[in-house]
Amino acid sequence: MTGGGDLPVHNVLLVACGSFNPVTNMHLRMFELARDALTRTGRFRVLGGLVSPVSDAYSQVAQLEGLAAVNHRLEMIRLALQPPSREGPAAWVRLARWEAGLADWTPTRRVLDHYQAVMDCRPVQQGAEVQAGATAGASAATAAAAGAATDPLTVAHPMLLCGSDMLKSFAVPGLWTNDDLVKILRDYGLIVITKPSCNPQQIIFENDLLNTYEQNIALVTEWTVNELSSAFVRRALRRRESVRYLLPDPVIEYIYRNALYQSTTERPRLVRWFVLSFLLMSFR
Amino acid sequence: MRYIVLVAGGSFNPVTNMHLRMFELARDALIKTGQFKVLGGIVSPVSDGYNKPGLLPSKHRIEMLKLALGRGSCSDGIPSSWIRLGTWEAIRSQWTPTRKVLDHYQRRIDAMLADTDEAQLNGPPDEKRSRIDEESDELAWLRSLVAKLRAKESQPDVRIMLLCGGDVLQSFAVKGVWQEEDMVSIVRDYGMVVLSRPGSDPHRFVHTFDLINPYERNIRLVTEWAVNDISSTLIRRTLQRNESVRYMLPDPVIDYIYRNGLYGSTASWPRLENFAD
Repeated sequence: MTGGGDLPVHNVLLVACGSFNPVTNMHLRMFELARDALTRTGRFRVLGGLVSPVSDAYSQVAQLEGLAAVNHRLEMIRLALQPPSREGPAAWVRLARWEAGLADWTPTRRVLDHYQAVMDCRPVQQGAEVQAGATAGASAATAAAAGAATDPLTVAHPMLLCGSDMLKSFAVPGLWTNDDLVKILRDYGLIVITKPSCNPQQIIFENDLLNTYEQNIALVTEWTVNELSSAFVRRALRRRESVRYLLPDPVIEYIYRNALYQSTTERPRLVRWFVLSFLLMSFR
Repeated sequence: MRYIVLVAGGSFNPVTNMHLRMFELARDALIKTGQFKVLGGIVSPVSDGYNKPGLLPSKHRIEMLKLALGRGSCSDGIPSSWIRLGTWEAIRSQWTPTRKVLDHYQRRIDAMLADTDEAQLNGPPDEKRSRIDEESDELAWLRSLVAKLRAKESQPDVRIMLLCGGDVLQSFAVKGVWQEEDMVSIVRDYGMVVLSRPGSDPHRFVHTFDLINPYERNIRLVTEWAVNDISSTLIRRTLQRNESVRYMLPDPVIDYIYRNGLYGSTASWPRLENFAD
């Protein structure tokens, strides 16, 4: 597939970084929207997606409270990314464990560099992931690159997938190094999913660096899922309110079973009805 | 303590996470008042007689609901839901006004409370015996719950309540859509839980609409902060464009839509190129 003329087709691996505390349907939706939007342009081929949760070291760096332990966050993402249909194809978005397994917090740029190296089949930093053998993240990236390698007119690289919060954070002085920003914007590219109320064009316009690389920033509006955030989910859990249909059922079950986010394992209202329904079913 | 069964009507063309979320929020809101316990919810899809362009046959809409609620033919181990399917309205050939649907389910509950034999319930003349039996089956869960209640309390107060979105409430003011006596009956005898998006102003509507204002206490307004705009219309449009609808409705429903090529979709689950599985 070519983009027309001599324009290279970008084979991209969408990488989303964040705390995923917890992962929600909003995060998962972002991948779907990004894939459709990039494919529509005719200039991109989306090879796959990676969810790369931050390591626990992030809570010290960001002075963040309430960050669930990394093993929980990884498992919730793994549950969320299970393929939709048993008979259908395997999931196109995978869990990336490399960043989560590092002892220190890792800037986003380094995470992207890592996956570029994997895609280029260059040696990578030994992380816990390598100990465990080839993992989804590494194998996804390698396979993606292998598929793209044959055609000289193609380029293959990771692309950062994010929301407007991250885009806005680029403009906050001191948060990102200039070097990292340039590398991300120039060599990897951004795809930003924003709410209708946000004005990403203005954010880009007002920042010199973003403005320079405007061509490498794809913007997609999310029309439907306006306020669903991890904070929203945590708040509802704290208040013993339902979070069903905001995140995948297996993730909700995991949260309750492990009493995460101040939810309680005892959900008297809901659990009683589950048990009751089960009993009714048995006695019919 | 009043025991509530929430009933939501609509096309469910197709059912989405927003519909399902509505039930969850309504339940939480009612329980929070301390005055209610929620026995269950009933989704009542409209009959094909509604004659809306693009309305899929009720067979499909019902099957998708079953898959969404965890009782479909390909049920995937999703936990059984407190939200159940009610097909009484859907299988009738003519469209049924909402108030009559509520009346129907309240009558069933009253019969369960009085322990009247349900097969002897007076229904409209064209209701066949097999349909009554099938519906008895559909409401078996409710019959058991009511029986348990009667064992605990002498005269349990079990009522139907209408669950709907803010657009339905606002349609009260549109001439010709509702019979006046139906609107009064709904707010006076049943009560409503209305889910609205932030920024709409249902309070003002209830305040200014004379017909329902006297029953303001029976109209519970709940704001849906998170997932407001996953409308069936948007889903259909997205499907037609062969774009992804994942995470906006349950996976088994999407699977069903792809397998049957519904809503003009020719897509299927995205296949990866060159991925090592």
